[in-house]
Amino acid sequence: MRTDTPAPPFLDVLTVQDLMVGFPARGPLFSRRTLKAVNGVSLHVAPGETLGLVGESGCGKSTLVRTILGINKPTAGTVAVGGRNLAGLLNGRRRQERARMQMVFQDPSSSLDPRMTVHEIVAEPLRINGQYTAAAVNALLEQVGLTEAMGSRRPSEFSGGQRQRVGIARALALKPELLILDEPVSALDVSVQAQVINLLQDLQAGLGLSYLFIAHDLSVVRQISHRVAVMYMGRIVETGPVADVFTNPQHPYTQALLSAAPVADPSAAATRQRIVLRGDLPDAANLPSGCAFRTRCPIATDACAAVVPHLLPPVPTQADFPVRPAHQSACLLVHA
Amino acid sequence: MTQQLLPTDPTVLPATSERDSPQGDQQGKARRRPAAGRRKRPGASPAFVAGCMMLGLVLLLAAGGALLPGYDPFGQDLSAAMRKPFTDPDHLLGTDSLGRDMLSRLSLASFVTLGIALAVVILNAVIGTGLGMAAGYFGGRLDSAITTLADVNLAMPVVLLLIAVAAVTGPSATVTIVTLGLTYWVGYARVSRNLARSLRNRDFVLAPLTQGGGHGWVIRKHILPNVFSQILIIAATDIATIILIESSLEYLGLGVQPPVPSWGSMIFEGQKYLGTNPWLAVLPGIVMFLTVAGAQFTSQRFTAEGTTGALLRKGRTA
Repeated sequence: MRTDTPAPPFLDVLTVQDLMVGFPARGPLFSRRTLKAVNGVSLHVAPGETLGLVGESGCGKSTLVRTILGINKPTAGTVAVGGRNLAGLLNGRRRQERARMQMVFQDPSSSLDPRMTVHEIVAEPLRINGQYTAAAVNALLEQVGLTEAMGSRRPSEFSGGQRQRVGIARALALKPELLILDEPVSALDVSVQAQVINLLQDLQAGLGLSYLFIAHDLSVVRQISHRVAVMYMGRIVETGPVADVFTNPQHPYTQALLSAAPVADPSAAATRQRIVLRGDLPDAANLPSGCAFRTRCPIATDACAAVVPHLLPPVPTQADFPVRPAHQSACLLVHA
Repeated sequence: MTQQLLPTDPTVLPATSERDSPQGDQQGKARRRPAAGRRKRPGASPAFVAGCMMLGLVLLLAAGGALLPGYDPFGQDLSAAMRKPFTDPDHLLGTDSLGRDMLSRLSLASFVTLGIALAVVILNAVIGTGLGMAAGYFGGRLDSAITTLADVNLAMPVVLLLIAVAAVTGPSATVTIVTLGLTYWVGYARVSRNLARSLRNRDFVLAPLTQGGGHGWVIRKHILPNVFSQILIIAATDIATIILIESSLEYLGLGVQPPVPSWGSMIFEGQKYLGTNPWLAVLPGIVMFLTVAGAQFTSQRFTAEGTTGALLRKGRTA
């Protein structure tokens, strides 16, 4: 768990405000509905900071990332890089600003073109932007712990961890300030995971990078993140400093999520209380009224069906666990 | 080395044969050759060898005929008309009704017919691949428009169309090339559309988009190279079909005009003398048969090797 706090931000590297992304979906008969994959998400990443984004599959993480990178178009809300709203920029300028964020993909075997050599793969972003030199590519390979000689091989000749290093080298090519890491280690063996995580932390310390780290493995998120945001059905239900969220989760969904994570110590595992969620994720094209989590929530009341809860700072009266203002959650019952 | 010993991703390697698939890895290790890069290809089948020889013979005839002594496809000599093959040392394959040397005419006809067929196939491949990649990559309305265009194209009676065009412009090789070139591209479009569709959401296609690359860059650098091998396979199988269609059009008189020979027109001229000298029609028929059968035999190797299967598997793992 990280206790160091990054330098106070002058301007956030990435600011997302009330982002909504909808896709047209087919309703009953000929009607049309909108599938709200991202439903009003706000988040920000400060320079040198790691924000961990947690949520189960289908909660909108990938759509959120693709929208931040401009592959999907938002239906509402803004994405700002370094305080500058991307929507207001001309195409060329927007591309330039967007290059300040780079993406590391989940599965390195599908994110690297099998026909290209590693050198060509890392060179591609430089070529696109007319900055290619062989020396620059070799320096990038070295930066992620690969050698110049490996550049002439193809991705199929590398192990999963090495492939992911290639993916990281490509993402670093344009000297970004923020890396968006989409489950960068979930496709890797545990022993290799640690190496890649260490590499990421070294790079962050050396280059002052910010990370938006997306994962469903809570122990990895806990290790690398300064702050965490928990996502459920296109909304952020809880966010705060990593220590606060992990030791004192407020939202019932976060509590269930943490109780489901395996614990290494068997005696601790035996005594702790598990919250088992019942039912499946609701249909994203037909979300429940009010709080989207109420259909699976162990403590839901009638009021939860009526009101959509917003992210709010904690109520100051909780005495035994002082909750800091940065630790926000979106649950009516927490704030009742 | 590692490539050979690790259970490799079957989608990345050019598939050699079904036996080399990962589930056969246990026994496969011992059988595989140690040297990397020298992957075992299936032994050349007799059909493949025969096909190569047939094609080689025709290509030799088309390319080398003009170098033969006594090459003269147009010179008439009525006193030496209608010679049968192997009866006159001056005319090895005999002469036609006007006394023109059959070997020379066959050679020129092969050159003309193969040239037209090649031009048609290239035109088809370029149009089909371009439209197909655009449809598959961009999707949406463009996709439906191009798919509709392909359906309309399939419903078009090509022979009637060509007769209509030739009636307006007069028959010529150019008219044949353009008409066939604009009508037989649907196969290329269909394959490249589906491949582009499966590739467009893969991460290695998305990556350059997030790094400032445009769609043109992605199509050139990632979609086209992955589609190209498939297009070559279709082209190899298609060329036989095009030769047959082209020859039937030539037979109908819609193509290169006399005195320039083509296989189809030679057969048409020869059939008038089937009773007296059947060789006039049979010889171009044999050359055509050798070409088409040779092309089919050789191209079967590409399809039987399962390259299509490998690419489809690759698409599915995405």
